[in-house]
Amino acid sequence: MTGLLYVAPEAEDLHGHLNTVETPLNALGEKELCPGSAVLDKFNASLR
Amino acid sequence: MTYVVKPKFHHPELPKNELGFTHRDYEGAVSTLCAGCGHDSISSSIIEACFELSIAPHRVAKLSGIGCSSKTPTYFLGSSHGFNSVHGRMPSVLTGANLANRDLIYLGVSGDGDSASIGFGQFAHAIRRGVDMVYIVENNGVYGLTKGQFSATADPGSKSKRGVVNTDNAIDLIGIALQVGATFVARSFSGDKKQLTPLIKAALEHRGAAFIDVISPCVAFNNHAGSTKSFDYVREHNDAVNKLDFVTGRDAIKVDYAPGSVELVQQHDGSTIALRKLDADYDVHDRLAAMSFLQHHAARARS
Repeated sequence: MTGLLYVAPEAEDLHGHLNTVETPLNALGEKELCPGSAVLDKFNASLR
Repeated sequence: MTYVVKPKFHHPELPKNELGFTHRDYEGAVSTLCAGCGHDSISSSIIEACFELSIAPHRVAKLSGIGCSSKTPTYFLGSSHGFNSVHGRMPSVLTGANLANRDLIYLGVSGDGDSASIGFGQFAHAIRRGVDMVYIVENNGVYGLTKGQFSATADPGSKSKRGVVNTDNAIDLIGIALQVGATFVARSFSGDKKQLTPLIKAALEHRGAAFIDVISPCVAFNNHAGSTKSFDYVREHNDAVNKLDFVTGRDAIKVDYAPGSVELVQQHDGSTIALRKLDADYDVHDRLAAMSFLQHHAARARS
């Protein structure tokens, strides 16, 4: 059997599942990738 | 004469696409595959699809593993990014590249050995994660580079060139892709460019994991009587559930099929797949029905 067998037109992709930023990760600068210890502390606190 | 470098010159009046590129701008090096190999027809369809969609070659990343099929990215899109990875490891390399740079269009090219044997796990996980890519398996049922041993997609009962009958069951990559959540699943035949090119175009415009299993006869080791992946066998048994036309969101082309026989599938980016139904009851939106349909036909072929 050949042809288009299945399609989900409104499918999401991996970036959608992970909720990544629109800008490609390789285009982000140091400021965005390493936002500093204050942000890290806040993130760690959210996991407690 | 595969050692000859392909000349760069071309006819000045070759048709150009919206970006001003000709068909030649999407070609690669001269193929070193056997004359008549189905894989070269697939390369040709990829070139045509990218030309017609006016995709800038530098926006495409083509990745592959090891095998005859995985050699083919050298023969198309010579100006695109390329990565020839370890055997069966293309899906994870592609996933990493996609996560690092989501702006590129990812085209994974693999074979039945690369995806159904050594890379079977990688294949399943990349699909289930929904990596935005077109994953093409050039499926010939044998290991062509090592003189034609059966691969995992060879049908039970099919005969090798030396007359040995395959007793192992086949892995149906389409069935696996459906089961693990591919959101675009198609099968085609390298000898049917009219069907394959629109499928590749639609897959390129699809967001999510798009999988195309292309039966591509190995002219050297799997094109004899008794093979279920020979040109003659596939031509005789090719039964299409639909015929496709593909309309990008940017074009205002009207579909000219008779009303009632065409189903239009609108994709997220505004592009439209026009499906001319050949099997009246076939519904491309029903994943369970697709799995059942394939199992039913596989059982009928075996009986």
